[in-house]
Amino acid sequence: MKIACKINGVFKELFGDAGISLQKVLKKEGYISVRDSDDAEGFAGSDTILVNGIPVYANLITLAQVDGKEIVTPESLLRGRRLSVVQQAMIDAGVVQSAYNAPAAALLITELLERIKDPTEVEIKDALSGLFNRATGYKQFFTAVKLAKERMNDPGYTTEIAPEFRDDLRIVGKVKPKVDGAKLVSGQRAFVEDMVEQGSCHLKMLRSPHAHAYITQIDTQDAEELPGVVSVITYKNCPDVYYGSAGQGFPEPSPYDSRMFNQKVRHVGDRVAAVVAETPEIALEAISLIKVEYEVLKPIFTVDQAMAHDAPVVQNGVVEYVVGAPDNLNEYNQSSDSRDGKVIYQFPLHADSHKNIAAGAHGAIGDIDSGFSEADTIIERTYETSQIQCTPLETHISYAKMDNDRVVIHASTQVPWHLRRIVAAALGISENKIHVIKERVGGGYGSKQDILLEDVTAYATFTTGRPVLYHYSREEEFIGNSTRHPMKITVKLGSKRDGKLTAVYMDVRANTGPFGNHCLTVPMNACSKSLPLVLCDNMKFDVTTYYSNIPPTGAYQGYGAPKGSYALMTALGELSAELGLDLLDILEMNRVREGSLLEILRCLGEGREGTPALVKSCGLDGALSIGSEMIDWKKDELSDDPNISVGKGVAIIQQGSGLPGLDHSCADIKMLADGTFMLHSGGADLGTGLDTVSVKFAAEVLCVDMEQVSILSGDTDNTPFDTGAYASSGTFFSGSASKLAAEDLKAKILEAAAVSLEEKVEYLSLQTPGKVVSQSGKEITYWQLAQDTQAGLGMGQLMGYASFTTEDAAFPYGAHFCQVSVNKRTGEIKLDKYYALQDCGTPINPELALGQIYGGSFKSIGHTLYEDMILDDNGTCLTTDLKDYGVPMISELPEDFQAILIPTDDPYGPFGSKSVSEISCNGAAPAIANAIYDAVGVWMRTWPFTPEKVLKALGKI
Amino acid sequence: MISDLIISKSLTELLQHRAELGSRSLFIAGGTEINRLDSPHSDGSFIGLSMENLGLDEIRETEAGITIGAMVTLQQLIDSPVIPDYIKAAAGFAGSRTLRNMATIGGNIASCRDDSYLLPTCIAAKARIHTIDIDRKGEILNEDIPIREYVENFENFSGCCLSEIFIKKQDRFVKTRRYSRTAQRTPDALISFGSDLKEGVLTDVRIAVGSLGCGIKRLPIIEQSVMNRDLQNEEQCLMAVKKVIEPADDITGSSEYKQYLVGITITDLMNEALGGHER
Repeated sequence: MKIACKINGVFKELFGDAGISLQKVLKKEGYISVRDSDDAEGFAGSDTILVNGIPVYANLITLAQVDGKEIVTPESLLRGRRLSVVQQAMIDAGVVQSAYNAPAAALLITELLERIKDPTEVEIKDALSGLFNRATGYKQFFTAVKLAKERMNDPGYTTEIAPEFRDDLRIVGKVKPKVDGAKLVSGQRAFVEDMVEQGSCHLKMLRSPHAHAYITQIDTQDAEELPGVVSVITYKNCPDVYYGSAGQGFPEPSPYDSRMFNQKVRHVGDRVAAVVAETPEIALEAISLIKVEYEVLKPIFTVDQAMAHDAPVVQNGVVEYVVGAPDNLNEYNQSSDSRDGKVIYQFPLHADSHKNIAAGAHGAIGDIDSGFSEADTIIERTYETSQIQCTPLETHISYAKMDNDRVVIHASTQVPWHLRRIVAAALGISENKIHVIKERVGGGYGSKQDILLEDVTAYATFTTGRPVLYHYSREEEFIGNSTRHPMKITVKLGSKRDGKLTAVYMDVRANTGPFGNHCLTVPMNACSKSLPLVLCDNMKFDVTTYYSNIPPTGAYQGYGAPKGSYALMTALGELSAELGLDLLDILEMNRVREGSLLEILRCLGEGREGTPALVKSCGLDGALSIGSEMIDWKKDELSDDPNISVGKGVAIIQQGSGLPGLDHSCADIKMLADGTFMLHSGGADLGTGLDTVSVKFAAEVLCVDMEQVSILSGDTDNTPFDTGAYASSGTFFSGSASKLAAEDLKAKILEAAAVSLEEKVEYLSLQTPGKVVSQSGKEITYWQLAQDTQAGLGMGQLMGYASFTTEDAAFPYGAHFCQVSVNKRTGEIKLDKYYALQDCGTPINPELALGQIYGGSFKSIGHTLYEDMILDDNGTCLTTDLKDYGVPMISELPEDFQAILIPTDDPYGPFGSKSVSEISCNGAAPAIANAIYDAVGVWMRTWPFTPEKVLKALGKI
Repeated sequence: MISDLIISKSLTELLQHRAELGSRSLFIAGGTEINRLDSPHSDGSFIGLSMENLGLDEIRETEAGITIGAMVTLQQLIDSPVIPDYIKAAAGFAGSRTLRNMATIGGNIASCRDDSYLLPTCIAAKARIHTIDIDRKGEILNEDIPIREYVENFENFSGCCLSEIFIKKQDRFVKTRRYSRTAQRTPDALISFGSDLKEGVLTDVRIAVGSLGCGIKRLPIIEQSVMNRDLQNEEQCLMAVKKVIEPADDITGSSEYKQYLVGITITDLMNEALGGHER
């Protein structure tokens, strides 16, 4: 049908089916900022537009419903290239991070300020109540609205958005606009979906209805014969190559236990067949024509089921080792089933796949038995964590096309180089035949560290020659994406009467699901990021990871640390209750401090031998003292409501800053002909501000403004290698590479200037803005220097390069405090206060760092209280949309939510910095568990802490 | 998705289209239920009958009560100065303002979902609804019925158009409690209690529950027990609830948990309605 309407003030005629969603029509018409995060669930708000002046979800309206109406999209806010007041305020406030629906947020705030000139916090919450934001935790939206409101009256208005740090530096530690902020907030082409060309094919996946089964028959003939179908891929015609989806450094500490398609399906939603077709509709129809017969096997879903002596075997393939094969391997493989394929280890992981053990690790320091025998009090408690979804606003997406004989992959990834390596292996081609372009990432949170759809997309392109798009639905995001591993963690603590720990034992049983990606490192991380928080001579851990038939697991912000922290910090809370001591006193007595040697890390290398690490900076002193004062720790709070009890809780937390000895980042930077700079960083900015970090470092070193430095990052053809953005490596590794590259260029600038000025290098220095000066008073601008070096007779274009690796570790620390009100009658838990105090060394981008802390903390509040991936008895996920799954929105913000930066100066981090993001996920569960106990005297030992569980613990039901 | 959308110029024309197309057609108010993910009407075989521009988007106040057009959005309910607070609160159970801008009172009632934002409250408030239909001779049939009757006989009303909702001006206690982990997650339970208070005695009690996985239910036995003063304490209330309702074990919680919530909430709301008078 044809309809007429006005879009952003211009009359338009739109064509399409009457019932097609307006979002799809607008997108096709070029209004690309009207995105979709929920497949018409009416929840996430990435599709927000105004119809006749009122905000609505474009994917809940059909084309026919807007005939004769006025439509306003986020594109309307931009005037030429000039941002609106609201858009600029959002950038300045630090809320534009992964930014998939930042344009929609800008539209909502604009509408709010037109409706209400001076909105209250309640009115702001109301206006943004239909917008899901996973990255920044909403808090800074209030600042953005305030900035915009004030600037509408006073364009020069400014206020303190975030504290600034390092008076000795011009740019680092200062509030500066994110370098890609304007592009993201205004809804310009930025994400993979924006790069798709007309005429591209669409890939859809037939997924398994069974949790555990062999495919006995698969007939694709009818599907292949359907007009418009280009290709059908199954286990029968895919490459016979085993690999893993984990985007980790090679050789990976994860088994290669899957092909692109397997004869055995191992979870509901596992790949069965891919259809590539001219349109998504044809692909879906073709899927319905594929006939599959299964031999259904008994599934297992829990660690306990996987451990049973007669448990079905999830990965019963032939085991191979690249190095370190045991002597009895042939005998071991006697019981393998060829239909299960292979399990290939790069090196031994203490696995026993025929007993469902994917990996194991064990270690100790001191003498754990004598530690417990010295103890006056011993407690042993078991905690269970649940499967948690990353829920990025931008669901997983991959777009591939051929460029002559090369496959070009537009990816939303955290690991462009691992992606290239894994896809090259899967396709059986060399890496030079693949070009990965990391586009802006609309939320990753760990799940985009795994290669979940790029392999099949690239293969479809490689075999058909056609450009192919594969974009996960929200349901696929739940059933075909990496999630947080469920874990069962037992903590045994021994202590003296005064609370001094004599022994700490942690037994981690992790559920890796159908595949072994991250199966060693996530569970080990539960130990390596929690045990070093306490100083005890006698420590021991056992880690065992089991296969099962739940949907896949993998990396999620915090990795194993949120689970380990929950177990250890809650156990310390239980110990303090047992001893009748204040938890804060116990933490103070036993905690890590500056100068501590973390001996336990000797046993906790990630797939290699670890090394003890010296803590060079630790902000826990400040975090604990300021936090306890903010929350008035010693004061008992009372409620007027007799049904409500109030309690307070605390947890100390840590993370790493990348993986010393494993991670590797490179960068180069060149001087352009006018003396400005082009920086090439291998780092993968996920929206967290890594590109801004890199530009700040280069500008600081080279004595220019940030505007003089442009950046290209995460492009495997055009930027140098980087292991990727995971394990909190961005600022520390990729940032260090950028800083060192700039320092390398600085040396070359001085060398070239010495020639131009006829001075000795040692008498020269850089000076702001962009010039070299000598002690004798001579000077040369970068512009002139560029002319001198690039004019044909000079030394050629000046370029700096750096490759950064290190064995030195920089640990970020934090203390999270909270206050809860628990309704003893209904079990409801209200988060009154949440204070996240974190030491990230020098905060490079203070406003973005705060956003990361708010976002990480709020995600973990979600995991702790609300979110739940629920499977039925057959392993089918029942919570496949955002509403049922229960992600928190702005309405769930703690009443008083504050992130506080506790600066330290780490000697190893660039400009004294450490990581900030992942650690933020580690505090909520234990802090809230401790607070609930303080309020009502019951311990919450399983996630999520629901009202029903509280009522059960209280004996009400 | 719908295959076509017919925009009528009058209610009569709308009903004529309905009579002509029968079950192949759907009334579309805000459209949020029809166009949403997993809608039962997503196969493209239905023709939409738009209810826009038919004068159904008004709220009228008279001495007798308030008449709300079916096309009034949930946000308009909240913004209106004449709508009772308990209806505003129920409209607010849709946690997203953007959704409230689209979803209508008519659509929410006519879809009769287990997790309906408004139905339990409307039942407790003794709201009435106005439906219109057309017979074979082209005669317009108007019907004015209690909303409880509409819900109880929902299948019988599938063909007619819900045009208005009427709420009597009354000094009636109406309150609804919604239990949910988040403002927008599928609720664990929704319990509405309505009653009049005459000389310290609760009369005309209406109790309705939703979001229990077993449809919108009125609890007449418990209503009678309340009016008979048979429920003297929470324990009796919990026992009574267990006898009359069996919620589903589902993603929001166990049946036992939901029965408990219903029981304590009825106890609490009954006490609140009594306002200090003895049970």
